[in-house]
Amino acid sequence: MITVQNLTKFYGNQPAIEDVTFSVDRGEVLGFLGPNGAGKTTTMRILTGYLASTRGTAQVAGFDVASQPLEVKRRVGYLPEHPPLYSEMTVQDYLDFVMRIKDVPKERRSSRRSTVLEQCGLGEVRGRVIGHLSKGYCQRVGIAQAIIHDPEVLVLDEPTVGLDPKQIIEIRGLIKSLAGQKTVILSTHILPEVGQTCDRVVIINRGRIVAIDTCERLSVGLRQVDQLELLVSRASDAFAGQLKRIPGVVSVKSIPQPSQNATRFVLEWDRQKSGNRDVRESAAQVVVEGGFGLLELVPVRMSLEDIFLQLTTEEVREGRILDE
Amino acid sequence: MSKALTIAWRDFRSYFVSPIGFVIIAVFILLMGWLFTASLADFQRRSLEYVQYSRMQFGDLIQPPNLNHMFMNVLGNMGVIFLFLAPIITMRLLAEEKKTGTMELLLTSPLRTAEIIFGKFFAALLLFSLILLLSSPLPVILFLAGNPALGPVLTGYLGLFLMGASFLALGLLFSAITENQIIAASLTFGCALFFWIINWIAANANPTWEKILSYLSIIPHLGNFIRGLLDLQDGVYYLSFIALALFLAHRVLLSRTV
Repeated sequence: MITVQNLTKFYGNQPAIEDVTFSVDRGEVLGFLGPNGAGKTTTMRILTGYLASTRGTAQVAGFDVASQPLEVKRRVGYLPEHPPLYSEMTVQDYLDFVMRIKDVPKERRSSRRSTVLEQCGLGEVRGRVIGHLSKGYCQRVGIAQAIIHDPEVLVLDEPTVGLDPKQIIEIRGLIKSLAGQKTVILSTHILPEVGQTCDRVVIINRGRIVAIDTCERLSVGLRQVDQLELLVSRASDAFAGQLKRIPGVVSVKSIPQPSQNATRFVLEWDRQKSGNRDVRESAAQVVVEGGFGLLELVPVRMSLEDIFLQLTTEEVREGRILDE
Repeated sequence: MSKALTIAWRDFRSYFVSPIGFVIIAVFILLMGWLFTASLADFQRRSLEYVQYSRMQFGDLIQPPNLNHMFMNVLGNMGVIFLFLAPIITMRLLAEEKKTGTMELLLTSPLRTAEIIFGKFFAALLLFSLILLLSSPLPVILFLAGNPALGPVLTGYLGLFLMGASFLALGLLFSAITENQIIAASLTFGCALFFWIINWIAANANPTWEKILSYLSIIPHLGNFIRGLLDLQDGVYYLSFIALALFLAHRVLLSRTV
């Protein structure tokens, strides 16, 4: 549905994004994750035809953004970071105006209007002046204008920013209700949002894509070092030594847990050095054979937050992640 | 082009949601009323003088007062007032959209850039036409009270309309360049005034430059219309002025970078 290839945009000599390449399938929800200034908005603006790219191509629904902008714009609904609202208009007048400039046929306008008003929960405020609405309502009007022409693709730039928790939940619910029928790209720097609403994630930093994958595969596949937590009731020094000898284990930390009358061991192991045998299996064998009294064995998964921080901070070898 | 009209209508209505439209119209009407009253008083004094001179058999020495002459002054003054009002009408057209972010809606909707430019231009032109229409009681009073020639009044209005449209096109261009309304208004006013006085140096320039500068100046063209002279050259001047300004505004909007 969306194909982006080597998209590059320079502001003067400063690259905002460089060689961004990804694609989105029909009906998929793609999350765009990155710190502020990473290039999320620039990418979205190019996709929606607001900005021209310096290099590279972007296609939406088979139409090239640069050479067939009108066809693309008919099929894309866009919610910019600041919802583009005319504060002096009423919600209803505003939506009517948007339908006119977005080529909604005359006979469909009134039904589209009532559908979208209901979908976005705007029925009560339809006659109110937009400038008098709360931020949450403004955001909903913003989403309403993005979906009113029933576009195939939705591009939402930080749809929940600046809202209170209750409004955030409502907006997320609204986005979820659209998923499946529409192809959605949404950007955010709020991590749990991605996990909750998106099928796949693009992590972008300093204008470059550092990772693309599903949330689950990102948190499993990306790790260079895995962690395993063991809680045992009869720990001894010998036990720690045995654990250390397991191939692949990098470090073992012991944390006494007096309240449970046990000790917690944290194992870090490197996937590449552990050979064919899974460290989890070896560790389990050690505990059981030695009779150390296993209470818990928990493989630690990295949260999206850890991945994000790892990917967007300096120490990360960006190349490695993409090569995988 | 129907989408251009949609934009024009939305913008025209927004003039009257905020008080801008009403303020502009009120200022214009008050000033015009005052100027018209002053011209009428002047006309009355001249008429009395003429009657007195005629009684004393000196009637040939002075021109009989002429209603059309009097109205020419009024139309000329209307042009000056419009020099001040045009920047205020146009400054918000695109600058405000850029500032509030609604430009993103227009530029990501299936609209051609030309539709946006024409829509904005029509909105300003519509407000301007309304203002001109609201000045119509003045000539009506003249026709009720006296017997002026209709032709020069109509061509005068045509000239004012074209001149005003030129200022509006210029204002739209500057509104496209900046997102600051004050800057847009200042540049529009400065540039329009410059075209107004560009020929002041003409008398002291060499003949070629004198010709060029006089042609470029707005005043002589408006003067012809107001005197009732319909010259193709004057029409071409205004239309090319408008076309150039709109074309440049179109380019500016196309070449946006941020």
